Amino acid sequence: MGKIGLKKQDSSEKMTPDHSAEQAENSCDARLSVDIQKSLGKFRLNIQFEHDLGRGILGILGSSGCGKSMTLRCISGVDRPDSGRIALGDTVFFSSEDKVFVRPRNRGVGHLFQDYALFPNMTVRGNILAGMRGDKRDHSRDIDQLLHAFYIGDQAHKYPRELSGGQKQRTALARVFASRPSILLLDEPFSALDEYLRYQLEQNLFEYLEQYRGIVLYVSHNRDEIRRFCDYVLVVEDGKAISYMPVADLFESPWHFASARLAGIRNFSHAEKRGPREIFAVEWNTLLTTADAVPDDLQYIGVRENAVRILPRGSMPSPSGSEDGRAPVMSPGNRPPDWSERGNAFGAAVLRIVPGITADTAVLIPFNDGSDELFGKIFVTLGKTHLPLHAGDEVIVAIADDDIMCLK
Amino acid sequence: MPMDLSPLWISLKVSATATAAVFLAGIFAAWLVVRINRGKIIIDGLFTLPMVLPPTVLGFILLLIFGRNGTVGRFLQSIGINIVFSWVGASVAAAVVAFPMMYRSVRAAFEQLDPDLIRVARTLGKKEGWIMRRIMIPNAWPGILSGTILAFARSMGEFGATSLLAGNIPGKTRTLSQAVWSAVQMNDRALAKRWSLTLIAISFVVIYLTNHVLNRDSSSGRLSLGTRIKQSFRR
Repeated sequence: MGKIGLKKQDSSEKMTPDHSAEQAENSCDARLSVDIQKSLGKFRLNIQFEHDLGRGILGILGSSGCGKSMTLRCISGVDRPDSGRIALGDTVFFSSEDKVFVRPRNRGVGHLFQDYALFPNMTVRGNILAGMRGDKRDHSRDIDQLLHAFYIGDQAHKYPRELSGGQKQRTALARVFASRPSILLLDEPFSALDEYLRYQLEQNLFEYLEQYRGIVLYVSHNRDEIRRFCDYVLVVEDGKAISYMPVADLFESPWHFASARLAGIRNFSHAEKRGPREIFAVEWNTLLTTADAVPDDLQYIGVRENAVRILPRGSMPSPSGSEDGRAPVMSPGNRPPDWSERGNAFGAAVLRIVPGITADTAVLIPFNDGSDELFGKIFVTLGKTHLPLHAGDEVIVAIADDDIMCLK
Repeated sequence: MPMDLSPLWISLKVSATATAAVFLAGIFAAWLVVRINRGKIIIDGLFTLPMVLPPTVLGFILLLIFGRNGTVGRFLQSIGINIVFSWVGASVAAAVVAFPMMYRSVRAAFEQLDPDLIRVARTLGKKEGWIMRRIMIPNAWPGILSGTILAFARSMGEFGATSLLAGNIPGKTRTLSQAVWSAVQMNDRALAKRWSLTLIAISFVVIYLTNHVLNRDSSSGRLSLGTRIKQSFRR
């Protein structure tokens, strides 16, 4: 395999221009496999994953400094891993075992950097021209097409410092597409933009990506972006890939504590298995029943903010009493009336009410809680009409059994 | 008797030659040091050494290398080039002394470039030579320009190493700073004053130019090399 890689490496410049078309015909060939280790100071990157074209856009989700960008830099070749292997189809980019390191200029990897890295001494046109390989005679026509496709025809003779954020991004995209990459790496493409610009630009980017036939890796720390753009997601935590799954699964059943946190779940408690469907939530100091069987390696439970209901203390929970809280995932009709058996209820005190734009959030502390920031506190999304809650009120927290996520 | 202007012309000739050599060598050395990882400190130390060594020591070392008994000197003599006691020798001495000024300015300018510019150029299939010519040098232009001006100024003022390697031959290797020294030796205060004022004037113009170029640069942002040169002539 490594020897084949070496041979391909020499001819990679020739094969690059039509590589994307080649891959479209032969999609089983378009498999990216990464297994690399790299140390940088105290940080250790040790990441393994495989992805193929048929699974769509791969999002790489992780908090800042988790090694997402370093992984991309290793794939495009501007950083060199200490050990491991990177291959795209039959082409080996890097293999410490076979002593293969293909220079970034021969990889044909398109890498969109976070701040776009437009060449400040070149015009928009010059930047795009710099992305082109091969025969110079075709360039002029190709550039005009790209300028048109990315709506930067009027900016062709401007320098990067004269462009708006969106125009910079489109120029960088045009440049990266001009190089006809066989794989496209996008490193937080929206982080340099103002919030209000994003929506429009995301739609543009989405259209370009739909026309692109090659593997796309999309790095972000923003779960909403990942959800909108990606089909699969790789969750990276502290230099390691902890899960690889369809995006929908990340938000439905994240499995890992870190994935759940990145998926936006905010209510956690350490948990112990007590029975086939019974859990003791340590910080919440309560026994909970689950709808599905509890796995043996359970460590935490997580509950979405909008899956928690608040009931007045002393009231018996009932399906018709839905005005006091909001729980969109459970409709009163299919919920059995006896909460104490199928649902879960326990006491808590209101710490504060946090106003929000679309909905307020109540922050609760379960009784007997003496825990840290992340565990213990319970966040609840409140509907437009909810009980008049005040700090210090004692209430009952109700969680449906199928809203409890078992995490490890 | 009309004043002998040869020290001025020799100084300008020697400094121009030295600056041209240092311009290329300094950029190349800076490019080299920015790229390497191992041995960076040692190579950087070697390149900076001429700045801190006494010029007499430098001149002596150059004499050992280029003199009649040095290997390089003997080789050059066999092909008809004489370094010692010639204006070429004065240029060599000035270049060695001025080299660290150029090298350090350019290196600092290269290191301040956004590393993603170089990374992205590599992923776009560009070779290292292209990256240096089209990305690094144009975007590090202010540092390169100020380094060049400083190197020129340092060459103009060079005295110690030049005296040892090229001597102080009137009309042949006597530069401005040596003319001042000789005039003082011969108790010709008026001549010493005139040459001193000439050197002060040249140095001031050089410093003014440096500040002018650097100040304008911060206000006009980053421009291409051609635009920059055009602008500096226009103003």
